[in-house]
Amino acid sequence: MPTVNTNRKFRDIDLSFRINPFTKDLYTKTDEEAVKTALKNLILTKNFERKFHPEIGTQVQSLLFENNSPAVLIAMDRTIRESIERFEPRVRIVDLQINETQDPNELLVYLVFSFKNVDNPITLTTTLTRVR
Amino acid sequence: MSNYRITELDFDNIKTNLKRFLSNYRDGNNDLVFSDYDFDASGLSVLLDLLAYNTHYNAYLANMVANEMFLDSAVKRQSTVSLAKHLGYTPLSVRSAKAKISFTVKNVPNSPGSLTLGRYTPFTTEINGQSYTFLNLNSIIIKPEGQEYVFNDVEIVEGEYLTYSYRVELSGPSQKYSIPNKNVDTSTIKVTVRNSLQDTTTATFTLATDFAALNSQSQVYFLQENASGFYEIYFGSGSIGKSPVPGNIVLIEYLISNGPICNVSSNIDQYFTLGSSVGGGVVDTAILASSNSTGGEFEDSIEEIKFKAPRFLSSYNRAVTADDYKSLIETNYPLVESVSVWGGETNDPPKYGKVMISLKPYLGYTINTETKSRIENDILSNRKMLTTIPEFVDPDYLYVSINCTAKFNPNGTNRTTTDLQNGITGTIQKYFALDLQKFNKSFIYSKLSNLIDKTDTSIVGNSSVITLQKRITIPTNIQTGYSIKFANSLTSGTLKSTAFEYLYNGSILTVYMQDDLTKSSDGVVSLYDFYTNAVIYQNIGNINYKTGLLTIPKINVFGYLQNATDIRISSKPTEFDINSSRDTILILDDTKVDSLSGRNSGLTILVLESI
Repeated sequence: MPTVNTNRKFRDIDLSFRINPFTKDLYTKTDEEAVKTALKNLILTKNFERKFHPEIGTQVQSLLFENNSPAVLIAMDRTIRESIERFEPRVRIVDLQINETQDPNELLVYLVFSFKNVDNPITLTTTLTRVR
Repeated sequence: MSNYRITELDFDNIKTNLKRFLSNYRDGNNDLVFSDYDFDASGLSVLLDLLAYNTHYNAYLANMVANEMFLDSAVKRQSTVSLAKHLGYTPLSVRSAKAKISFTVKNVPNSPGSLTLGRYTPFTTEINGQSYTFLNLNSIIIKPEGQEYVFNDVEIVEGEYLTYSYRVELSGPSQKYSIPNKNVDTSTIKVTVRNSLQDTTTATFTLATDFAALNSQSQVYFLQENASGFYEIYFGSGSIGKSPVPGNIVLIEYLISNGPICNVSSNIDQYFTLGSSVGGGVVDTAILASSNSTGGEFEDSIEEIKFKAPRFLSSYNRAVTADDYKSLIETNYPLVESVSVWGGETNDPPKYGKVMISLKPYLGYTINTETKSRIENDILSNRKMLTTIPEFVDPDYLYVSINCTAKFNPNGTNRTTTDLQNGITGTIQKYFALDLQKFNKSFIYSKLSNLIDKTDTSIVGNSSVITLQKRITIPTNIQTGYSIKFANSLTSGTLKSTAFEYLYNGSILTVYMQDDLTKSSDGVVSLYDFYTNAVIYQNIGNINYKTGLLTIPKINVFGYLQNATDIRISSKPTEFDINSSRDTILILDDTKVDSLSGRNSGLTILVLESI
C-alpha cells in the first residue's frame, strides 16, 4: 500500500500527451490538478479495462446504460465512493452528489474532496454522458 | 542499474520494477520527474500498465516459442510433428480395419478361363447398426474349379476410396502434394505419375523406406504430415529418388477410414455383401468373414507422437535388441497396452534363435492369430535379423482376488456404506488399471491400502486379504498334464480349485482340487467330492509352496459345470506384495459368486462403522 506524504509534490503526466512549447517535453500536472485527473481517470475506467487488475475502476460506464432511476444514482454513488476509497489513498471524500441535468442522457458528478491531513476542500465537477 | 531486476515474468513484478526505476529517476535539479506512479488511478499508472503488459506479453510469447521448440514441452500438434520429423518419425495415420472373406461365384456367363475381382470392389457390412464399406486393394485373378470360381481369403480393407491429382509445376522435393482429407489411411496410398494429359504412360511410385538404397531412378515418394494436419507427399531431388518433371500428372489414390469403429470381435459372426457383380455371376448375398475385421486404429495423438518418436529413433527402424522389438510394435500397433520381449535363450525352456514376444491388448486378454501374423509380416519381417524368428507367447495372467474390510467414521461423512463400497471398488479398479495390468508390474499392498484410505476422509483404516488365482482351460475327455505357475510363494493349506466334472470308476463326480494336509508329505494335491468333501483321488498333483509351481502330471476333465469354461485355482500368498515377471500380468479377479461351481467373488468390500 503506497504511503501518503503530504509534503510531497504530486506530479503526473497529462494523458492528452500535448507537448509543452517551451520545454518541448510533455505537459505535466501537479498537485491538485494531478489528483483531479487521477480521480476522473478512476471514475471513467471500467472494471476489467485494466490488464490483470479488473478490480480497478467503477461500474459507472455500465450504469449509464441502465434506465434512469433513483436506484441507479445510488449505485453510482456507491461505486464511485468505494473506488476512490480503495484506489486513491491521497484524498478524503467530503461530499459526493450525482444530479440529473436537463439532458436526460447526462449526469453531473459533483465531488468535493480534500487531501488527507489537509483541511482544504477541492471541488471536481464532471459530466457523465453516454458515448453511443 | 544493478538494482533493476530483468528476470521477472509476472505482470505485477514487471510493474514493480518500472516503479522502482521511476522512483530513482530525477531531473537535473535532483527532483523527481514523476511521483504519481504509486497511485493506481494516476495517468502514469496507466502508462506503466501498458509497458508492463507489453513486457509480459513478449515474455509469454518467448516462453511459448521456447516450449514449442522441444518435444517434451510442445503443445501444438504442428510443432510436435515437426520435431518428430527430426527424429525420422512420421506420425501414424488412422488405420483401417481389415477382414478376410472367401466366396464362390457361380453361373458366370460363358464360363471364362479366368475371373477377375477388380480392385476396389465394394463389400458392405453392418456394425452396430451402421453400414460400412470394405474394399480389396488389389485385383485378384483366379481360375475356375469346375463350374465355380472360388476366391479364398481375400483381404478387404474398410474405407472410402478417393483420388486426387496434381499437375507438376516444379521438380524436386520443394513441391508438396497435399492430400486434402482428414482420416486418410496412409498405408493405402497409391501414387502414380502420368507423363502428361495427352501421354497416358504411367509409373507407380512407392513409399520410400530405405534411404540408403535410393538412387536417381528410384520411383519413390516421401510422406509427411504438414502444419495443417494433412498428409502430403513429395518426391526425391532427382539424385536421391526420381523426380517428376513439370507437365507430369501426379495421381494419388487413398482410403478415408473410420478407424477402430470397424473392429469386430471374433466372438460374433460378421457378414459381408458384395456391392457389385463379379463377371456377371451369382454370389451368396451374405458372405461370412473367415476373419473378422480387426486392426482399425486412431491416428497418433500428440502424446503418442512424443512417446514414440524418440523410441523410433533409438531403434533406427531395425529390430535387433529386445527394446527395438518393443519400440517397433508399440509404434506401429497402438492397440497393444503392454509389450514384453525377451531372448529365446533366456526362456524356460530355452528356445535358441527365437525372440519371445508377449502382447497384452487394451481390450481382451490375448491377441488373435491374424494380428500376430500381421505384426510379424508387416512390422517385424523386414526389420529383424535374418536368423531370428519371433515367437508369440500369450500373457500369463495371474488374477488377484481382494477381500477388503474398511472402517469409517459415520460422523465424518454423509455418504452411505453403499457409496463407500462403490468408492473403494472404484479405487481398487483404478489402481489395477493404472498401476498394474502390464508386464513386470508388481502389486504393492501398502500402496493399495493407502489409496483405499484416501477414497474418503471418513475412512479410518482398512485391511485386505489377498488371494491369487490361476485359470486353466483343460480340453474335456483328454488325459493331459499341467504345470501352473503362481510365481509367488504360497501359504500351505490354502490351495483350492472351483468344481468340475471328473469320471471316476465309471461315474461322473463333481470334484475340486485342494492341497491335502492329511498327507505326511507337504504339498500333495488331491481331488475331493464337491458335495461330501470326501477324498476321491489322492495325490493327483503336487504344489511347491516356495516357488508357487503346481504340477498335475495327468488329469482327465470330463466337463465343466453350468456355463464355466475353465477351472480356477486359488491360493493365498505368504507375502503381502505380489510379484510379476516378464510374461506375467497381474489382473483384478472378476469372478462372480456361483455356489454351484464353488466360485467366490473376486472382489469383496465390507464397510464397517468404526467404534
